[in-house]
Order: sequence, then C-alpha cells, then structure tokens
Amino acid sequence: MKNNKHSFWRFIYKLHRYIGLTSSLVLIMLAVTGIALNHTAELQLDQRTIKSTAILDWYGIKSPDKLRSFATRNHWLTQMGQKIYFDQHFFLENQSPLLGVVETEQFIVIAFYNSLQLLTHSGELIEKIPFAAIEHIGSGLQQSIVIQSSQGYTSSNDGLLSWQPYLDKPVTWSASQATPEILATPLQQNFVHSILPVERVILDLHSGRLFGTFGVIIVDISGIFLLILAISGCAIWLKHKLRSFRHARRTYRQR
Amino acid sequence: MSSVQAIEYQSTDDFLLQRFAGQVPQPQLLWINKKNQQIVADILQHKVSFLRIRYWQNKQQSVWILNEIGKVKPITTAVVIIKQKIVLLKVLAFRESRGWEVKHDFFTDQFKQNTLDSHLKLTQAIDGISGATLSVRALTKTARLALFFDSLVANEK
Repeated sequence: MKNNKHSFWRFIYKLHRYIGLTSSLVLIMLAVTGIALNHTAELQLDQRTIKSTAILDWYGIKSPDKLRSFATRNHWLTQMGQKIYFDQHFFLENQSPLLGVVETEQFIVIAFYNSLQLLTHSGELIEKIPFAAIEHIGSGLQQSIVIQSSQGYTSSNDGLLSWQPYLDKPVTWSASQATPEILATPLQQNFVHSILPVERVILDLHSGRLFGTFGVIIVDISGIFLLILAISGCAIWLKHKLRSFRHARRTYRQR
Repeated sequence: MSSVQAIEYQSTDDFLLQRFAGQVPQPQLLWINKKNQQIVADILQHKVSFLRIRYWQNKQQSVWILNEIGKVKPITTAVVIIKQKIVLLKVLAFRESRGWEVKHDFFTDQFKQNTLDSHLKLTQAIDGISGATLSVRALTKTARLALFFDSLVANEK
C-alpha cells in the first residue's frame, strides 16, 4: 500500500517536471504575446506594420498589380486596393473605385462612386461631400466641375456648394493613365509594408494560427498541460504542507 | 436587431426640406483655421483632416450635419441650433452593429436646450445607455462640435 502511494507521488512529480519542461517554450511565448496584447495601445501594435518580406510572404501578402492613376498638373493620385495615394504619400482609404480627378485654380476634386473629395493643391483634405452614384467627373466651361451620375449631368462652379444641370456643353472627362514606373515601384512597396499590423501577427502567434491548424493544436495541448501543471503543482504543495503539519504535530507531542 | 448596419433613418436632403419647410437655404461654409482645428481635435479626441464644414442657416436656426465614428463606422447626426442652444439632435444614419439605441427620442431629447460652458462642455449632463457607450460618446462629441461651430459663426457675424 505504501509502495503504491510512493509510486503515485513519483508519477506526479515526474509528470509535473516533464510537462513543465515540454510546455515551457509555448508558455513563455503565450506569456510574452499575452502581455504585449494587453498593451496594444501603449506599444502601438495596431499602428505599426510588418515590413519583413519573410513574414509578408508567409501571409501571402502581395502588392496588387493593378494601379489606377490620374494626373493633375503637378501631382498624381493613385488607387491601389482601397488605398489612395497623393503622389507617394498615403492619403485615404475608400472602398469604392477612384473615378477621376479634376484640377481647378483653387483646388483639386477627386471623385469616387459615392463621394467627392475637395483637396488643396498640396493634398490637404478640405471637405468630403456625399454624392450619389457618380459615373464620371470632368471639367466644363469656366473651370466648372461636371459630374455624370444616375441623376444626369450636373455642374458646380462655386467650390461644390451648389449644382446646376449641365446640358449640351463641352466637357473634358477625367481619364486614368498608366502609372509611371518611378511612382509605381515605391507605391507597391509602401502598400505591402502598410498592410499587416504587428498586432495581427502577435494575435496569430498567441493563438497558434500563425502556423495553421498544427499551431492551434500545439497551443491547445499547451493549455491542457498548463491545467495539469496547476493541478499537480497544487497537489504537490498540499502534500508537503500536510507532511510538515504532521511532522510539527509529532514533534510537539514528543515534547 | 443585433445586426443593424448602414441604416439611413432619414436622408440629409429630406431632413433639410422638413426642417426648413421646403425652403432650404444655400449651404454656407465655415473654414476651420489651425487654432480651431486644435479645439475640434480636443472635442473629438482625435485629429481632424477637413478644412471646412458646410451648414444651413436662416434667420431662426442653423443646421449642422456631422459624422463621427462610434466604434468603427460614422454616425450621421443632424443638430439644429437656435440662439446657441440645441433644439433638436437627430441620428440620420447609423452604421455600427451596436449602440443603435441612441437614435431614440428618449436619448436624443437630453440634448435639447443644451449649450456650451466656458470649457466647451455641455451644460447639462447626458445619461449614458449601457451597451451603447461609444455611440453615446460620439453623439455627445457631435453636439459639442455643432455648438462650437455655431459659436464660431455667431462670432464671425
């Protein structure tokens, strides 16, 4: 009976030791990533992005081949995915396609399917104006902005404050142009470097998803190991506590 | 109603027609200079990128249609101001998946007669709604912003 009890505790000790050793690497990783995720805002994990080609390749992130660019006198506006760039600088995100760009003496107007955006010549946003179902944007007589939408042809020449019907008058419609290579290469690099937030990678590392189903199973098993460690650790602590209590009682009686 | 998304309760044009009884004035522009951009950023607790905002005004009232993000998507709100006091705040479009309770009158009525104190805070406290904290916060910021813009217009005149 005593031998059985002895071998049971030996088993518990060994279990605690080897499970602790086996799962230590994953538990350290879980602890480090967990602490990092708890401080996402302070560490700016949601704003910093991954630039490592190896990690980006691991996620299968590639720059879109298709760039849609429109030229003004001195600048280029380019859409890549949902990102819009003013020359080489990221400007804004918009889900609908960039339909055209018109420049006047006062400002630049860019058209999306459901809005117009008014910019200064240096690319500062002046105002975003909701507009329904835009099809084309162009410049008309006296530097007016002409819009072709589901409502027909309308124009504005007071900074997009008011709109009038625009019929049977000349329009130069904005049309996309091939993006110059000197602009396309840095834009594509900028695009892939701005896609993947550090937070996403740490989250995937924390859950094991970074390594697919295998990683998730490893993290799950480590979770079970942690449970066993906690239970066996408590049992060992309790055993020692009881032993020292019994020893103290025996010593007291002997006195 | 847990999956309420991109719901427009009333279009801007309809609201303006209703508010101005069919006689909608031409929109006017308020330009936001650097100093006021900082104040706007303080009210909204984030940077703003726009340089001008449009509003509609007649002799009685001014109407501001503003967008502010609750959690991830903008809430479009109309604020009607008469003599530096809010007389109506109405949610025109709500795009978030939670917090839609802020569209109800029982909540928006709290903004009525509210004005700004010297710290650009609302003079009357707004009671929150549990589960709609971010939407409540967005509407409170919108109300403060509209009152601030209205005060700029009043000072210009």
